[in-house]
Amino acid sequence: MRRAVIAIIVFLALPALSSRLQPNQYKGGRSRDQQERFERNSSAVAQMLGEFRISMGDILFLKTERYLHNGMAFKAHLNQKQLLNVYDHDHNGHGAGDEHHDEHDHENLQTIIPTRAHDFRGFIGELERQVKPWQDPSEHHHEHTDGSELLPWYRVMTLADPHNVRAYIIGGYWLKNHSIDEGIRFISEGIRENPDVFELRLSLGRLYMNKAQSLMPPNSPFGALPEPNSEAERCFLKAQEAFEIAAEMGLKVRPAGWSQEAENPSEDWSIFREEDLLEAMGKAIQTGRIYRSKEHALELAERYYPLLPDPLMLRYLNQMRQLNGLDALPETP
Amino acid sequence: MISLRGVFLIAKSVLIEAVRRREIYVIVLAASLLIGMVMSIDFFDIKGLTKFYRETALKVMGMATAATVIVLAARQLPREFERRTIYPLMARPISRLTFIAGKLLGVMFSAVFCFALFMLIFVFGTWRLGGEIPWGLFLQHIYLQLLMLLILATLSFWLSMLMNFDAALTVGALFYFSAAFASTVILYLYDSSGTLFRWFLLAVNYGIPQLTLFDLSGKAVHAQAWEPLSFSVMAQLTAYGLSFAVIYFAFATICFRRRPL
Amino acid sequence: MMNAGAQPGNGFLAMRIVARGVMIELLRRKDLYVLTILMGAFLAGVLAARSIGIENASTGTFLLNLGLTLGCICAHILTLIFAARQIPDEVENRTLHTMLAKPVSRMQFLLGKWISCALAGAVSLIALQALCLICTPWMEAYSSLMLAQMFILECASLALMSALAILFSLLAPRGAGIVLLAFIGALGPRLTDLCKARYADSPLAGATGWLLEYLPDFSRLNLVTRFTDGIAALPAGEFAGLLLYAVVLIFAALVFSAVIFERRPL
Repeated sequence: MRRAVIAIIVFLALPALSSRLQPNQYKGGRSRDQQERFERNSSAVAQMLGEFRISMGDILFLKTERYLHNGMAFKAHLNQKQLLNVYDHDHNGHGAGDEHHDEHDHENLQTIIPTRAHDFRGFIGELERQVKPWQDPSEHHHEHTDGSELLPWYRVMTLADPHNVRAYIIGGYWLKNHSIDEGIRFISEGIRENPDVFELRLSLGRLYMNKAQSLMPPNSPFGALPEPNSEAERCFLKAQEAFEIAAEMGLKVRPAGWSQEAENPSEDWSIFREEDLLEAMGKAIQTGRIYRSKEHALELAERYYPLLPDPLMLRYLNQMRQLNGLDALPETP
Repeated sequence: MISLRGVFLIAKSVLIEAVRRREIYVIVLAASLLIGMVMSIDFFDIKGLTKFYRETALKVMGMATAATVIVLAARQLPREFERRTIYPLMARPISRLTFIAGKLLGVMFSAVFCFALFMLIFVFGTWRLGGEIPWGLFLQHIYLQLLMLLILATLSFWLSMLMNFDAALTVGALFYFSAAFASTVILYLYDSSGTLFRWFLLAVNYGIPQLTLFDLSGKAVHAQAWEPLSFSVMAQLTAYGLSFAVIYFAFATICFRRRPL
Repeated sequence: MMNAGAQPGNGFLAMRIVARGVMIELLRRKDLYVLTILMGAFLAGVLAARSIGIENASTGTFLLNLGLTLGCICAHILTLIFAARQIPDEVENRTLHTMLAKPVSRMQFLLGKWISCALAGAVSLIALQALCLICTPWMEAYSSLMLAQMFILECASLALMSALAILFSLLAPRGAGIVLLAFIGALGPRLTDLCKARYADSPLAGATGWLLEYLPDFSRLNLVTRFTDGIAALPAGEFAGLLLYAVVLIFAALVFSAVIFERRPL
């Protein structure tokens, strides 16, 4: 009896201990790294395993590919950046980021189930091509479907792993066509879980920009000023603030002197992150000029350029200098 | 000789036992809980996101039913020997073929019962979500899944005559769970193999049932883009599935006949 | 409650008798077949992967993660099935009376069953994971200390699975108990996440979170992904905390099992 009482007391006190134990809640790691994810999922071994994966992130990667192609299993070809571009190209006719281009190669796409000419399995291969979602890639007009059907997967993914930043970013991005407010809520949740990730602030800024634009009168050109004290103005200012925070946070974590061609590139920084940081800085300057003041925009450009001396940043700096009546700096250092 | 009455009587007893043991209900309940749990998530208040539901539900239902069939089929014959209940049965004028055919039919009745419970839940869930059921592809999927379950049941009978229950269960489950990628493995290995191994892979390709051919869920999930299968394809798949079921059933019967009481 | 003749001093000996009985039973029932089949399937998988070619380090790590995780899952399933059938089989075959007629108390009987099933699970784990660690190339840096911690916690997780399987087999029919525990083992953490997210903004959030902590969370004791992610080993305090978490749950499960078992008429 005494044993049972002790067991009950110890068991009742268990949450006090267990709630402090989260050994798998860590940041980073190969399973979350987007480049590694792309590499392992495009390998022959991974493709051989079909949809069999342990990591939710990898499952989501495959689901994304399949849902965008009506269930057809292509050999992995879309990296995370291209996923955003795919959606914008197919639905809006332009790329997601201002400076990004879709390098998505439609010509050499291969399905996992081979064509009859490349399949030794005879009638079994033939039956598989009938039963599974499959079309001959040479005859198939390569179009991507609406990614919004993927949104539940992103929700499940972030519940399972709140540190999967890409799931928040891409999920938030797709959400904007359904409900910008839901997108803002989703990204804000991501920021709560990952307060030091600058890409999430950039996404938040993008969404606030979208929301502000939607509140402006129809056919308003980009850069048109909103009514003072209106909801649109508040959203533009929130967007500007988010871009500025993203730029500051990104500059803090960017390894000094990073370059893609360096012999030992940093594991924590990639060309994708570099592009995101440049976008955050550019948008902070541009929106700062429009919605705050040209002096503030110059201040930002003068702060950012020495920290990331990129030609794009120099262009922004010179634009702001000229706007403020100063001479432009020479293009070559 | 096979007695149809005997087959049905034995099948009925298998079904009654399966239902009475409540395992099917527990499996259906656990699977439904899982589906319900997933669907209770607030997906940003967006209506009509049915692909996710269809995919999750069909996958969970398929796996749960397959696991039920493998367990039921693998334990039918060994348990009769273990509990010595086979002796009074064999003392009656029932041939061994009738006995094993009845057991198989009972297992398939249980599979249909399990599937029917799932389908009710699936249809109810789709109705709640306000989505549409792609009936053509959906019914074809169920039919093909039942064919696959027939192969699994006959294989499990045969395995249970060759090895103990646990081993038969493991091999049956491994066979089922590896089926999703078995045909892709063969494809990839073929490209990087020598002539002799290629012959071996060809033999594996034709000699082992490719269960992935009975999984139409890919098209059923993305039903807006795909048409139901033609009658000719369904007929070929039926012939393919039945031929393996008959072969495995024959092996199981031979082993059962040779087994001393 | 102890049988006549059961001496407290002979407790260890009694447990050993029971454990030995279980081990003999495992060998007699040819349960090793199952392990051999699984190892064969493992080996076939790794050989197939190697013959296709492991193109980069990420793929090597992916395979290592997959192999270690599958090894861990298989060992848990085997332990669950071994442990869940122990007492129902003894009751069904009427061998329980013979066993308890010996100077063995019911608690000793339970402990013997629990420890032997946990050991059988650990042997399966060693066999499957060692095979994976040997056959899969290590293409990225991993922490050896993390590997040791991962392995110890997995053994603790198997011991927990064994204790819970015995408890569930006393509470529900064998098949139902297995399905229920497998469901909790596989989806417990996800269920917890979903419920927490659902009530995150409600005043019940704290109470819900506290209640959900009572659900055994095997994922806390599974550090395979942490190991293959190349993350550093756990601090000693957190590692000890995790071991304590397993011990508390095992203790509770065994005591509750003993209470139920002692009150059950033979």
